[in-house]
Amino acid sequence: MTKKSTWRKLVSAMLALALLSVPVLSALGENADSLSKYDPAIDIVFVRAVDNDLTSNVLPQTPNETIESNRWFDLYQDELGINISYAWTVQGGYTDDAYKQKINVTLASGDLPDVITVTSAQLKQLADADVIEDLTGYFDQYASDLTRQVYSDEGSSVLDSATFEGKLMAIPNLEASIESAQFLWIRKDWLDKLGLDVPTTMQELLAVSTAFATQDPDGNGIADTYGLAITKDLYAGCMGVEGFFAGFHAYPNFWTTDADGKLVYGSVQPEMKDALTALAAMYQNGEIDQEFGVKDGGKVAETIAAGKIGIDFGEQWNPLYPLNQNYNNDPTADWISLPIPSVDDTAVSVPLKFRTNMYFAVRKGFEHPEALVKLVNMHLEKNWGETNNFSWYYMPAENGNTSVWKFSPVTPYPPYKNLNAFLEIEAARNADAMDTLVGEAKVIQSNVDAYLAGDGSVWGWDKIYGVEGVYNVLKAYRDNGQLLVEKFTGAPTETMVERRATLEQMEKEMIVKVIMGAASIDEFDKFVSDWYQLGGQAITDEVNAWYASLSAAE
Amino acid sequence: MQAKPKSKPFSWFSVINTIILTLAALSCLVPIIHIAAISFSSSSAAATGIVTFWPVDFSLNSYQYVIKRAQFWQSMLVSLERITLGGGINLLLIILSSFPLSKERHEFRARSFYAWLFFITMLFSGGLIPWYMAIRQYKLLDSIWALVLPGAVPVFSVILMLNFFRQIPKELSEAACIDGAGQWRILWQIYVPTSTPAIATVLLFALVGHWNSWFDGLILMNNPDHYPLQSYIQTIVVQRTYSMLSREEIQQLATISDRTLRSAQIFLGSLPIILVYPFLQRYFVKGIVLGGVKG
Repeated sequence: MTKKSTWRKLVSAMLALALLSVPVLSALGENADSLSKYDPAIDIVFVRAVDNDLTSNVLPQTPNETIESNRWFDLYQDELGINISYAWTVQGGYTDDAYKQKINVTLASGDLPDVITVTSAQLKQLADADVIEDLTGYFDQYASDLTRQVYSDEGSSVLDSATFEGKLMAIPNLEASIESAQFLWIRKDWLDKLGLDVPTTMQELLAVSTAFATQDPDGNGIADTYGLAITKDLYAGCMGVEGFFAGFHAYPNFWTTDADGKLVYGSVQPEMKDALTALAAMYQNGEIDQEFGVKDGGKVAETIAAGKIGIDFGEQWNPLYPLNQNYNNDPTADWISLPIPSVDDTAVSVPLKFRTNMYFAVRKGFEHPEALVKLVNMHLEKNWGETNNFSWYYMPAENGNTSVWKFSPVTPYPPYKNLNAFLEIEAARNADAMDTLVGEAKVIQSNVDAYLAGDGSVWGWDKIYGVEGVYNVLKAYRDNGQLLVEKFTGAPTETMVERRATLEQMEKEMIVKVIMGAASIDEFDKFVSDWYQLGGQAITDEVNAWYASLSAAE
Repeated sequence: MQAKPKSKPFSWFSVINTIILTLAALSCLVPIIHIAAISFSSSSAAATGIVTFWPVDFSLNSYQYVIKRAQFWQSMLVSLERITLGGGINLLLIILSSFPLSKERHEFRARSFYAWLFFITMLFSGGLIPWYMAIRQYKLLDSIWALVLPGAVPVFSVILMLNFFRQIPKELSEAACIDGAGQWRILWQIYVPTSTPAIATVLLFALVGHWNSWFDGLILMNNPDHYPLQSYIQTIVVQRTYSMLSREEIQQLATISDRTLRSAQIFLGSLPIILVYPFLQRYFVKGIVLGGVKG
């Protein structure tokens, strides 16, 4: 009897203790675990692409550091007890052929490193083949508050994109979707020379384009200038057509919603027609390079550099490439950024593509999958957390403001960091307190200051973050609710994998043909029906099924 | 006054032949000249695309930059190591395998069997993945041997060589045999010295092949420091589409715009192998004709 009651007491005491400790543990435990140190230290093997910026800019500025021995490795080793090494490294970016080839043979040979950086299509294959760890529990338990916040800044889309059947199969290498916002870049010096106003509607822009092509804005007496820059690839972050189409409320190469809330592919919507007709007229009129159909980005950039083009639709970095090449040759070339003008009274919606496309997956059977989460925590913490040491771990001034953050194998970042940096700079500028700037904002401002002091090589920074910088426009987009977020963020569906290449080629051929006048605008209708027949319908169904499964899960 | 040389009879064949060959030669030469012209131009001239076959705004900046680029020279060293080792191994194995295969049936009974064994590898390959896995299993990954051993016996060159061996008069080896020479001695002291044209030809094939191949370096090396030169150059000349650029790629854009630098590296990278040609060329023509036609 006594024995039994003692037992009871003990059990109930333990239960009470357990109940008490649950919230305490989960509140404290999360932060305690998120950056806790392994003792003894553990080893973790990554693979990585080493880009040209790292080899030609960062390494020469960091004399005692290498790809496999540097400040980030020291940090991870000292504070987390994680020793990182690379099974292999390749030269180039993660989307370059070298990395793709190497990752393909690695995956095919079944010889996986502990953490592997893959595309969403590869992630899906790995998940289906059941060779990678389910990270759901590890992320829930180990992600720091900062990590959670950063990964939910774009809503649930970033984590959703790595979630298969409710399981988080990888940590996304987050890329900011907001940076895919397009702007209208235009040569202000040409506008002034021809006595034109800054265009605020699409009609005005079309008139400007005509004037640029016909009124000899470069003053050499030869009709050798064009209005709009476009390439044979059509969709691009610079010299692309997506911004132009957005002015007509058309969103090619983009998944958006129709009136019923269903997902639809923008390239097959009727809004495309007006924009295509307008482009065809511009081509007819000589406002577009007659040979654009065979020119890639590098080639069209040459035309811009030679000062023959006055209008470019592209992302915020365009002044760093290719517009700067125009400025370098001709310092009077003054490119300014404007919001995309609308063809009617409806404000333009600016499509934001879903940008996250690389994922860190953990090999099945690796003993410490949570180590990956800890690395992500630490990377964010040291750059943007409360204990950050930005001026040592991100872009140290003593290392020539080069991107030493690239030494880390995991490099997530808060998606709104650039816009926030701009807002900080703007606030400091208005308060006349520039010396209060810290972190990335300070580095950025130092570039802007260098330009204002006469250093032409950093011209682009002033165009992006300066008083008249392009982030003013982005801020306005955001404040006016003009940003249109892409709704499909999942891995490529089955039919996409099979047919997308064909369908995309068909789409681009149709657009180029219509613009060049080789086919009438009716070609578009034929394309739409072909597109649906040749797999587009199946893709649309799959995408909607994915979308429905998402809302069902929430 | 010398006698007027007899004029050749006019023939349409030689006119058309000369035109075609000149065009073919130009199509090889023009890109090299273009690249050289860009490499000696200023970067802004190159960026505007006005350079064709003569440098515009002459500048040596890109070469000064290449001199400081450690990775370029590192790769150059790897490539030199590769052609030395690879060329030597190829040549040795070509000679060793083509000699027995050049024998008659009655001298070497299993000749057809071996000949087919070699020949089949010319028609079929295991494919990329099995190739990669085999090399991995042999623990060759990330070493210079991975670039040298998998292609150690170039079968095309073996066939060229064995055909050349066959047209060496039998009497030579028979005489040597009577004088007491064994097969080794016949090979090294009779066949090899009389086959210098063919040897020069296959050596040139081997050297050029090793110098130009880039894909194996990219796949089999685990560290860019071990890339041979052409693999390295491949990574700096990749064509980009400007869609879906990540934060890292945007930063890279500033570095890719430097065309003159890329051109300088391509030009320097092709120089060493171009310099080999004059030394081997006179054998080259004779060798491929003899080996091929009389086989």
